[in-house]
Formats: sequence, structure tokens, C-alpha cells
Amino acid sequence: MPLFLASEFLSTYVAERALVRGAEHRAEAEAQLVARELDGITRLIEARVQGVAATLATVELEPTGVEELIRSLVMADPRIYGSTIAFEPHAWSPNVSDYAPYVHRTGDGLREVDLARPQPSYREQPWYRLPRELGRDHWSEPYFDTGGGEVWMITYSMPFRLKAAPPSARLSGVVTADISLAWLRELIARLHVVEGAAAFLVSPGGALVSGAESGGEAGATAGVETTRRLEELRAGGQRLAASGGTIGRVADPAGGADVYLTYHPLRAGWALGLVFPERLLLASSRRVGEMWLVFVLLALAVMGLVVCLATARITRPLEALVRAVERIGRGDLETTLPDAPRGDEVSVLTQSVERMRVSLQGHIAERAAALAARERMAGELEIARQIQQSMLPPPGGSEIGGGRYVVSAVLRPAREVAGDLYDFFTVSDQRLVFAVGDVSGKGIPAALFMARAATLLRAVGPSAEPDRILRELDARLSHDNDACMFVTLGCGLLDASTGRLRYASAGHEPPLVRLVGGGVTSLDPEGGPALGLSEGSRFPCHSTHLAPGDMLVAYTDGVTEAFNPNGQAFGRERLCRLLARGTAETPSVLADSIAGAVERFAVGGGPWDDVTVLVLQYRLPLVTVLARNPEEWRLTLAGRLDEVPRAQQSVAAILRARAVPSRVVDDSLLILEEVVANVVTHGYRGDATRCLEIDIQVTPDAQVRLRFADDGPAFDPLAHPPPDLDATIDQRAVGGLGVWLVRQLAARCEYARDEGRNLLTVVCRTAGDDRPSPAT
Amino acid sequence: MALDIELVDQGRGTHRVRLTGRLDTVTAPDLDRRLEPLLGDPAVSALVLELGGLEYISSAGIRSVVRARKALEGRGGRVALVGLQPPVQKVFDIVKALPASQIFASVAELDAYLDTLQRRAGGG
Repeated sequence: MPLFLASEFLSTYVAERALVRGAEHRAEAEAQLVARELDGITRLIEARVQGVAATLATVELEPTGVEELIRSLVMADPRIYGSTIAFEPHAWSPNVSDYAPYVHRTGDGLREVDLARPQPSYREQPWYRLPRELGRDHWSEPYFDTGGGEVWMITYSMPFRLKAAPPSARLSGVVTADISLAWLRELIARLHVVEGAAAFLVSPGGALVSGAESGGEAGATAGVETTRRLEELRAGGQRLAASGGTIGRVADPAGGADVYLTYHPLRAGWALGLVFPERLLLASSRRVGEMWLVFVLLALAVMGLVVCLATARITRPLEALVRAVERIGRGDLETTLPDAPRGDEVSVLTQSVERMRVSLQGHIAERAAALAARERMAGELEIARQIQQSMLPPPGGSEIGGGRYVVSAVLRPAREVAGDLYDFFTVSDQRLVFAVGDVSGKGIPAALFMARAATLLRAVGPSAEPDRILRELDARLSHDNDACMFVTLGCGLLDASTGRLRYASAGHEPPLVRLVGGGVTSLDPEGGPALGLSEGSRFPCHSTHLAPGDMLVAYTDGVTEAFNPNGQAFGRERLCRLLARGTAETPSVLADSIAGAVERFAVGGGPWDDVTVLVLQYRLPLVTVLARNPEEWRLTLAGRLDEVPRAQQSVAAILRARAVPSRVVDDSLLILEEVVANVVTHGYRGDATRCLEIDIQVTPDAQVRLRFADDGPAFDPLAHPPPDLDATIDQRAVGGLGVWLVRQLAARCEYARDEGRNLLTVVCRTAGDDRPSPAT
Repeated sequence: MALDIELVDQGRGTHRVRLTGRLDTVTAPDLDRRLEPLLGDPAVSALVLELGGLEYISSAGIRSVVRARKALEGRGGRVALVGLQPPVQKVFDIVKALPASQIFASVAELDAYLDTLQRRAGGG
């Protein structure tokens, strides 16, 4: 667009210049025509008038000759308006002082007047005076001939001398010929340089004669303007002439727009000027310019339309494509793409976008499927975790075989599902099988192998001792084990009636036992290899006893091999210290505290292994832990003789668990029976509602002290005389042997009566002590 | 079965009592009950207690033996024990419930003794 405007302005400018020059040339041409016409008539008039003057100077005229001369002069050319021969005073005749016959044209002929009448003022007129004074011919300025032609005119006057004039007279008179201004005006009005132009003539004296009927700037009065405005025009024209140009631009003296002015000097001091307002001159160019502008705008509009249409062919599909892509971007992958016109870049783009859309759909579907698969997997993993959880027995306890166990276990998988396992179950109503295992690896493969091992354990466990359980498991797991997975397993069997514990290990960490007194021991069987790799391995059993209150802690290496951020392992020592320090009374408290300690230790320390802790506590009904250092238990039993075997069993469990030599155990059990039987028979006299308390103390060097407390009537068994063992049989007393036995078996006996209770304290002989007891 | 009692009449007044298990304050009354007919029967002259299977004895059991001795020796019979296990032997030693002469280590010794008894009884 700017280019168009620039070119438009340029062309307008050029056109204007051309127009101006054209106007100039036309003005020049027309002026030439006018000039020639004026030239023609003025020369004619001069010639005629000079001819008349010459005639008057050479020919004696009749009185009517003057009028005939004048008449013939006027008639010589229709452009001549009038003529007069005006005489000096008495130059025509001595009788006539003023004589100036004047003939001029009227509408339908000629009219003659004498300019001397009514007043002979013709000699005052410039057309007479000036030639007379100057002595030569003279063209007048425009004037209104009052009393003569009664029109505006210019007059050519020539002084003459009559033939008969005296030699002293300079002149006899003046001959004139007039051109009416009306004709002049008509003449210049015919100039047609350009529409709206005004032509004017400038007289030598500066009078301005405007063209008639042209409506020009010079006004519509008689044609002669000497107003200031025209003065300036004239001045402008003279400046122009002076500068040598013939066309120039001046400000309109009337205050309007600029006007163009041409100025052509004519003969006799006259000049022809043409004034045309720039607007009018350039009107056509302006019109052209306007047309040009309109055309340009139209062309632009058309071009714009064409361009729009053309680009619409491109942009419409592009826009549609953009909208489609936006829809795709918002997620509407099903949207259809617009039809693309054949073959061009937009169609190529459309095809690419279509391919992109399809592949996006595909990708999204794939990702959705992958996400769904992952979620399904996560869901299945969760279910697997739950299944695995349900395979693991919850914490529990039960009284079996006269004894009691309490088991609590914690399994914290490293991933959703665990490769660790634990199990415990009762067998034949007085035994408990327990196991803790660790499958190689983590995650789903380990969990699957764990399930297999756990199931086999349940199948094999009830029928066998730990060593055979492991052998069976080993054989079956080695079978069909293409993945070469293995599991370390520690398996134990607790006889709850006696506290006897048998334990075997297949490559598993040895369990720890926290004794009632706070000590920590370890079960260290000579173990076999991990299960599942080869058959034929042996897993020797290790036998021991648990005292009531002892806690066995079995675990996997997720405990001992948990690493903290410094790279330290939790380790067995730390676990032992934790057990020794702790005061947990129940397996669940202990299991949780171990798992918690491992968790806290390993925070930030790297990937976890599955953490498994199983705590088994052996208890006996009616046996409580009395003291820790030295260890002491309290057994409460009802005052009945048939309670004695059970009490003996309980005490046996305690003593064997502390590695008391079997001879001492046997002695202790016998002592127990004798004392209790005594109390029941003699003290309680069969009142079964009464109870006894037996406190069993075992020192670290396996010395046994039994203290019997009953609230029967005061009875000091030691006070009774010993039986006569040497008496003949018929004299032998049947009773009394019990106490004797006790006193013989014991290292020391003491009786005390305290707060209504009999307290009998018996210290058993140690194994190597064969001294006879004092015979008291 | 804390105590298993097996009675065998070997003829000629000799009865064997095989005990298996524990002879304690709970089981001694059973033995007393089983022995009572024998103890009251004058035809019974020898009571042999086979204690190879007895793993435990307390004073209640001793009392049963003493009662049996009193009954038999009162009428000229004898009570003999055979096959005592060490814990049982120890108790008998402490209470001297039976003369050592009447405790036999083996059945062969016991049979020889019994033959002597019978010859003596049969021989006048």
C-alpha cells in the first residue's frame, strides 16, 4: 500500500508538472494568437490613422472630407469602434474654434457626434493631450469615453498637420481610432487555456482588462480593475516577466488558493496574462489523481480480494488444520482432520498431522495399556502380599502338653512381597514346630519360592524332627528348581511339656535365646547348606532346654545385615546387646522392638532386605519368674498329691534348661515330691484348696535351691527324729522316710516359720558333692 | 501310665511283680491295692519285684515295699528286688529299706536264691 501511495504521489506530481507545462504551452500558444490578433488590429489602426494623418497633411480637404475620412477609417475594420479627427483651436477654420467630429459604431450603424459639443473639453483628454505634448502617436490607457462613444475604450491617437496649416503650428490636431474594451474583452475571453482560467490584459499604464464572460478572478465590472488585488497580480506578472519565465505560481491576492499566472508581453507595452487557480488547473490532474487513487484503491481492493481469496484457499484449510490440531492438543484424538486441497503443502501437512494423530492415539493407547498393566500388576502384587500375609501365622500362643508357648513374629518385606518366611504350628498336642527362612533374592521370584517352601514345611513338619524336616525340604526343593533358587532355613521343635528344644539349621543364622536372667545365649548347631541346591545334605539337630520365661529369637539376615548410612551393619553383637538390655516381657513387645531398632538403624542406609523376627517364649502354667539375678522361678501348685508329677515336670524343665546335672535334677525332683507329699498329707490333710509355692533358684554355676512355702499349721519336718533304719522290719515305721530322704539328698536344709507360713529351704547337693549329709 | 504293674504267679508260692514307670506318691496306692491280696495270702511265700523298668521311686514306693516285707517276712516269706536302676538303688540305699542280701542284680542270681528258699522250705 505505501508503495502504491508513493507511486501515486509521484505520478500525481509528475502529472501536475506535465499539466502545468501543458497549460503553460497552451497559454503561450493562445497568447500568441491573441498577440497576433492584437498585433494585427493595432498595426492596422496605426496604419490607418497614420494614413489619415498623412492624407490630411497632403490633401486639401473639403469640409465633408473630414467626416469621410473618419467614416472610411471606421469602416475599414469592424474591430475599429470609432474614430475622430480632433482639431486644435481654429485649426479647421478660423471661424471654428473647436471641431472634433467623431464617428463610432452603434448597434445598427454609425453615429456621428462632435466631441466639441456641448463642451469642447476634448483637448483635455489624454488621447489628445498626450500626443500633442509628446508630438507622437500614443496608445491610451483604457478609459470611459464620455460624450463620445460612451463606452470603455482604448484609443490610438496621432497628431497631424493640415496641409494648409501655418508653419508655426506644431500640429493641427489628432487623429484617433478606438478599440472598444468590449471587443478586447471578447478577444481575450476567447482564450481557453483551461477551465476556469481568467485572461486579462495589462495596459502599459497598468490598467487591467479582464476577459468578459469568463467569470474570472478579475471580477465582472466593466473589465477594468485597478484594485489592489489586481495590482498584485500585475506585479506578480511583471516579476514573472522580469524573471524570464512565462508561468508562475503566486498567492491569490484575494486570499484563496494559489493561482497560476502566465504573462506574455504584447506590443505597445501591453501584456496578456492568464490566471487560473491551481485547483482548476490541477483539477484535471487532481481528478486524474483522484481517479488514480480510486483506481489504486479499487485495484488494491480487488487485489486484496484476490489475495484473500487466494490465501483463503490456503489459510482456510490451514485454519481448519490449526483448529483440528488444537482439538487434538486438548485431548480429542478422535477428531477428523479437514480435507486438504490436492497436492499442495497444506495437504502434506494435513497428512503429517493425520499420521501424528494416529500415532498419538496409538501411543496413548499403549501407555494406557501399560498403565493399566502396571496397575493390574500393582493390584495383583497387593493381592499377592495379602495372600502371603495370610500364609503367615499371626502371633499366637497356646497351652499344649502341660506347657505353654507364646510366639510373635514380625515380617517386613523389602518390596510388596517377601522372600522371607516364618511359620509355627503345633504338632501332636504337645510340640511346637517353628521355622524362619530366607529365600535368595527379593520380590516376586523369592515370594514364589517362599510359598513353595512354606507349603512344603507345613506338609513335612508335623511328622518329623527338625533334622528330618530339613532333609525332606531339601530333597523336594532341589527337585524342579530350574531357577536355582535356595532358601536358608532354621527349624526348631519345642516340646512344651518339658521345655526341650531341638533345632537344626540349613545355612541359617543361629537363633539367640534371651534367658530370664538377662543373659543371651546362642543355639549353634552344626548346620547344613541352604535348601534347594542339592540333595543328601545333613542337618544335625542341636538339643537344649528352655526354661519358662526364656525367649528364643530367630531372625533373618535382613536384621543383621541392615546397613546404616555410614555403611555399618546392624550385626549380631548389636542384636545381642539389644536383647540383654531389653526388659520386654512379651514376645510381641520384643519382636516389635527389634524390628523397630533395625528400621531406625537403617534409615537412609540403602536398599532393605526383608526383615523377619520370630520370638518364641516358653512358659509353664503357674510358673512365674521371680528374680533375675540369680534366676529364680516360682511354681504354684494346689495341695494335691496328683499335682506332684506336673510340678516335677516343671522343675525338671527349669533345671534342665540351666544345664543342671541330671543327678542333681533327679535329687531335686525327689526332694520336691517328698516335701510336697509331706505338706499335703500332714499339713493340709488333703485340703485340695490350699496351695503351695515352690521357689526354684538356679545359680549361674547350676546350684539349685528349693524353697517350699505352705500356710499349713506349723510343722518343722526337720525337727522330727530320723527313722530307725536299722530296726527290724517288723519294727520299722512305714513313714518318716520322706524327710529322711530329703535330708540325705540335700546339702543343707532350713526351716522357718514366717507370718503363718512354713518355709523350708533345701539346697541341693551339687553334682560332685558326695559327702554324706550331716546326720541330724 | 505312670506305673505299670504286671503280676505273674510262678508257682510254688512265688509271685513276680514287674513294675514299669514311676512308683511315687501317686502310683504307690495302686501297687498297694494290687499287692494286698498277695500280702494276705499265706500261700505266697516269695515276692519278687522286678524293677528293671522302674525309673523313679519315692518314699511312698519305699513304704509299699516295707509293707510287703513286713507282711511276708512275718510269715517266713521273703521279698526280693531285682534289676534296680541307679536312681532307685540310691533311694533304697539311703533308706535301707531292704537288706542288701535281698537285692539282686540279675534274674539268675535271684533264681538261685529262690531255689535255695524253696529247698529250705521244702527240705524242712
